[in-house]
Amino acid sequence: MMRHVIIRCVAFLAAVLGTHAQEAGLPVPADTVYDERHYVISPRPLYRFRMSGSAGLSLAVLPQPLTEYPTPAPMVDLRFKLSLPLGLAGYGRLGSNLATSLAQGGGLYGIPLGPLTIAPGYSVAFVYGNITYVDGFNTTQKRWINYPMVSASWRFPKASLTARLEAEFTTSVISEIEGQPTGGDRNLWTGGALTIAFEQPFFADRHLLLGITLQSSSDPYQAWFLYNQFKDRLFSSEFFIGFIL
Amino acid sequence: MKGLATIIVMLLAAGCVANLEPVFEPVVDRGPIAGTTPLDTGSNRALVDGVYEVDANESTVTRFGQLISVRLAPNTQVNMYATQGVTYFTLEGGTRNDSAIFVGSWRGVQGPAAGSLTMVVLPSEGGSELASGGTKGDLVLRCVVRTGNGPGERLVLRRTAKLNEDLKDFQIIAHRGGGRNSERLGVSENSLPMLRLAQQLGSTAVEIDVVSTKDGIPIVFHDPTFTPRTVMGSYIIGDVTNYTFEQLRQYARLLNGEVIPTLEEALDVIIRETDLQMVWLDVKDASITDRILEIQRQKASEADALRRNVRLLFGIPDTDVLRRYRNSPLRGQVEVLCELSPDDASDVDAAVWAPRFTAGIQRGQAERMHDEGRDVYVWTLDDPAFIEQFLAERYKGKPLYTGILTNYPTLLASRFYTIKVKP
Amino acid sequence: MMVLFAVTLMSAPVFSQQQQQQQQQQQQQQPTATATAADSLYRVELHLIGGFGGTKYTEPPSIFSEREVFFGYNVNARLMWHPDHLLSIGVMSGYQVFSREGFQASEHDGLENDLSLELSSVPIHLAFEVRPLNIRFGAGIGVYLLLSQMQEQGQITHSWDVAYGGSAWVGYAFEPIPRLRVGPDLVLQVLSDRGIANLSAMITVQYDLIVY
Repeated sequence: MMRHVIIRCVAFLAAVLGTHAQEAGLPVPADTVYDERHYVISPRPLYRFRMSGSAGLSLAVLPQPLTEYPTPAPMVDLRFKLSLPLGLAGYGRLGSNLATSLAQGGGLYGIPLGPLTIAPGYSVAFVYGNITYVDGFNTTQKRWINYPMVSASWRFPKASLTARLEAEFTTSVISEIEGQPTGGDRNLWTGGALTIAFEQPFFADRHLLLGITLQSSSDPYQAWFLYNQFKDRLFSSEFFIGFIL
Repeated sequence: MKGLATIIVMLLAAGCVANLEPVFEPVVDRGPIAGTTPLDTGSNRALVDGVYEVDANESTVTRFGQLISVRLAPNTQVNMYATQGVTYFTLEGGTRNDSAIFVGSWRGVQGPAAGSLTMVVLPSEGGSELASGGTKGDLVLRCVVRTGNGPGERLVLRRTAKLNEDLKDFQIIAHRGGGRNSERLGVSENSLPMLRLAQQLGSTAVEIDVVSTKDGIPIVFHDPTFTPRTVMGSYIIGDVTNYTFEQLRQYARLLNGEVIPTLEEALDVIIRETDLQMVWLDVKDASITDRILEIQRQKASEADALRRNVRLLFGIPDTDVLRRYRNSPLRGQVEVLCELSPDDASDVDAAVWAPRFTAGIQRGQAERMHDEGRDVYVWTLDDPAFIEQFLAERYKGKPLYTGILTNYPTLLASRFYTIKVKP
Repeated sequence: MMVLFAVTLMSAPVFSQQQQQQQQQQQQQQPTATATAADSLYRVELHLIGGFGGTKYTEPPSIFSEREVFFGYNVNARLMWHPDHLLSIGVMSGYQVFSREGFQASEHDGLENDLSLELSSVPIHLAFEVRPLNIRFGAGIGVYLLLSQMQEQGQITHSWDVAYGGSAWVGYAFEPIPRLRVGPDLVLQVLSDRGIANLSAMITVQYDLIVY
């Protein structure tokens, strides 16, 4: 029993440090392809406790007419996936451009059907915004968003194509101006998003993550600091690119 | 081939344009108001103007909130502003026998929602009083409201309070002549039709933007460049100063088909066709300072000759315009609004000091300006919480901020008129 | 754009893991000093592309225009870095005329002089391309420098602006001699916030500038 626990701990540490399961001398499922360790967005089950991550940039274009001109909002973008037993996996994202920061985490259940994997999942994101206007108001916003999702991924010989359909349920938005609350809790379906991501080898054994999120939301979090009174569903796109670690 | 089609769709979708749902354009049947006598803007105002509460027991529509402000406009239209949804109503009609009937439309500028409505005042609920020119009692407004082509819903309004009486000391200032293109009001920002619409939206004053053409003609336009946000077509792009006035007059059209007005045309419309009380000229090109001052002086004297009480303010938004104003031979001959420091406002003897809202509530400096006999306007407030925060500030029994510039005059009007009323 | 890469890979042969490893070993055994385009792992490629195409506007481009479709030429260049896998990344630029129109004063109310209008653009894109079995699939994302020209009474007025947009292309590459590839391309350019799309048939000449 103790030996089993130690092996698991070693496997977890090895995965977190980016060491392959094979290198750690651990058993590997027969049907698992070597380079699947590179995939972050794909929900396909991997070696247990293997951590995959990507580091890159995302570029959202804030929707018109919320902004009067197409306005880019770049973010540092870190994404990860932690494989768990029984086809389960944890996944998440950290992003920030100082004015807006996002931490997202959740879980999914991957069902492999040949090269196709279907995965229902659920994640929760916390968004923190903080802007101090020049010589003026300090404005902050804390927002909780829930994303029930279903994901489908196709495994190619060397690459993976994933589509993820998410609903956006905003459970709480708390805004403060100079510490005074100006907005309260709410439970609203505010929209949804379709993400299409491609993960493939780029150079040496470095893989590249390329993706786009097409979002339709009445309250896109990237534009939290605008005071416009739109309640329409607004379309926006977010392009992301990352090196898979 | 399917993949290629998908790529095309995605590329189109991945761009930056949000194709919003078109705004519903209600068709208003004026048949029911045929033969009515328009309201008397003198005697009927005391009876009509007020804060009305939605009777929840009798109403089936809830989208407009609990309070609606009603004003009888100088042109005999009845304008109403809801506290929920940035919604305005415009009605026309009048009295017939001992009741009153009105028809009109409403629009929620937060989205595409719009519709028509019919409103009656029964004899026993103020109709007789209205018809006889009386001033006693509280009206009950019984409306049938349609959203889009939907069925009629009941909305019953009962007057419960007077409008906030600070209006004589306060200006509801609409940005860009009344509203932005993004609100899809059916007319373009900074256009002549927008200036004519501004009061319906709730404003008592407007800010208009003044830029220069290549040949130095002051025109009313917000951006330094032409983009699809503001003008039709694809050839008219880039810096406004690349084009002469004649080129723009012949080849350029605003988003809803209007010509780009000159400053003179815009001031003429404001003076002769509206009851707006103030115009803030936001000078975005310092090089035409003298030309603007000359036009302002001329139009101010024309307004005086017409006994039109409208205040024209030359806006000083930056040190470049300030320097040119100081060196102008026309300095001191027109009223000035200064967006810079209180010291600068004092130095040029500005009629108005106008700080931006992001600088916070600057009570000490605002009080100093009042003590020096200047008004204080703040810009540009679009958030209800900020609006209420600034409206709540008072000094010597009057609003500390005597004007607020906003992109949503309807929102500001609804908050301003009801600020002292608790539903 | 993602689908583009997927289409490419669907058409790629499926290798077993063992085959892939063998292939990699074979590649690594090749002496890089005498590398050719066929067996080298890394390349810097120059793509020169020229052709003719049609531009579609969602609205007539001027208040005098009666049509929304125009035809014109199109030249582009791409500098791509191609490492040891299918995907290459680079930059793309070029020049294309979206539309050119002339109007007679005698035929249009409100027009005092004869008028000539032209809209062209210079794209500056981050480009991605994959090329399995010599079939080229690519996409770009970036900005377009829009150039407007208005001519009346011999006077020319120039103006310019910047717009966001994307591009996508599909083509085939023949390799008549080592390091040189030639083939047809179909290129789509989209400036969605301007309501402009251009589809052009092009010829691409591609040369491996650096092979290492």
